[in-house]
Amino acid sequence: MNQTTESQAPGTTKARTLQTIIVWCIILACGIIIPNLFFRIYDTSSKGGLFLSPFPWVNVGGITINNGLQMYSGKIPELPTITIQVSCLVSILTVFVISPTLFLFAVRTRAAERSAGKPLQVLRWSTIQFVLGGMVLFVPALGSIPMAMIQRSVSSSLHESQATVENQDAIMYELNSVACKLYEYRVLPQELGGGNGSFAGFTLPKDLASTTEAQYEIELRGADAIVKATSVKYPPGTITARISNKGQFSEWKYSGVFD
Amino acid sequence: MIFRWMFGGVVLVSFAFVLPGRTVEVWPSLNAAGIAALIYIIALLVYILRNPIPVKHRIVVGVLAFISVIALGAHWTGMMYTTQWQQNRLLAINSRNVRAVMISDAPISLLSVLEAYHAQGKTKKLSLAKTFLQKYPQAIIGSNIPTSSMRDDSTRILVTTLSDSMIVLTASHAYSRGRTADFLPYWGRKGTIQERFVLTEKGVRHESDN
Repeated sequence: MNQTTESQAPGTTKARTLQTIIVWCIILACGIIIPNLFFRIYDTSSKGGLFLSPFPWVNVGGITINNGLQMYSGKIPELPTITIQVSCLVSILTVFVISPTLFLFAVRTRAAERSAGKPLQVLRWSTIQFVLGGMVLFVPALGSIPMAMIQRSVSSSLHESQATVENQDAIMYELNSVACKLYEYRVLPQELGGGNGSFAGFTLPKDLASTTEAQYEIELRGADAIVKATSVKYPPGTITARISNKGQFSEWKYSGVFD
Repeated sequence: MIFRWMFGGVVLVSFAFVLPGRTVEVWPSLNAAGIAALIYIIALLVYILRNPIPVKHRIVVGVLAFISVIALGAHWTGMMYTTQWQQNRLLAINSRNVRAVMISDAPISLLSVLEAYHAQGKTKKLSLAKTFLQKYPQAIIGSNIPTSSMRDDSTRILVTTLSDSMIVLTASHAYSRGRTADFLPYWGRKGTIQERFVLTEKGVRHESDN
């Protein structure tokens, strides 16, 4: 009898280990699927309804951009709806209060259970609590690492391209002043320092010829003038345009970073 | 005990969330709730990881919690700064475009008047104001000077001074943000852009008010 029991023991242990692995796999799968379904089912944000997100700050970021677009078109942004506020709060509570509490209490319960030395079932409340809490807490955390890195890289490329656009806009702004100065020079009589109907003899005032944004050169061509701006901040970048005797622009040409 | 902790956490974080009040942006509420949640998690960790939890477990849970907080915090703050920066850029682009239209249109209108004024020769029969009124017969103080670039009615170039020796055009925008939020423009909302163009017989002077 004893011999039979001893010969069956390794098989029983193997079966138990296999059973434990299967149960853990099922629990982990459920731990991934259930929170995922939970977040998806409640996501009605596209319809302006309730959303439950593991990253509520992404939704809030969307609201900020939307407010910016509203202000851009002259509308006063509206206060966020109660639904949006409740959604944000529930999302925060789910990720930062409920799931860590479940997970950390499960850690403590499991440690106490193990130290008590009792034989334990794999599928017990503390395991479910441990997996569910852990998944809701750590999946967003793990997801945040690559997302934060991508965001940083996108943000830095946005800053860079925006800086170029800003320089270009500033140059265009200054070119307007150049055009006005030219037109003004042409219409003023000689006794008031003007060209008496012509651009001939025009020189750019020092403060306009070289600014923090660009350096400007003027070349007279017939009744018109060609102005060339060379960016100080992005030196290969130039903007060239023709200015008519009425101070109007034509024949825009861009090169370097502005092309 | 778990429900007491959970209830305490929910109350703490919810209170922090409503504390900043209802504003257009949700960030103040979200950030306050985030800080409260962080305090809650630290307190919970201290409570949970006391004896008899083995040291190895404490280290593992502590490191996991630290990495999670850093990762979530980086994503959270990154999103906040990026979206706020984008919003500011949008408004700055709007202001720049509006200002560029004003600066290209208003002086040209005045310089065409100056051209007609000086075209009279040394002996002037018409003053600056009269020359201006020849071009804009309906113009009075406060009237709008329409230009080709103004496709909507949110930009106004208003006549604010009309005298024999000086004409002032004040360009304002209905909503585009200027430099100072408290500035009261001639027209439009408080804090919006205002550019002034002063025409004398010597030329056009540009003054940026806001």
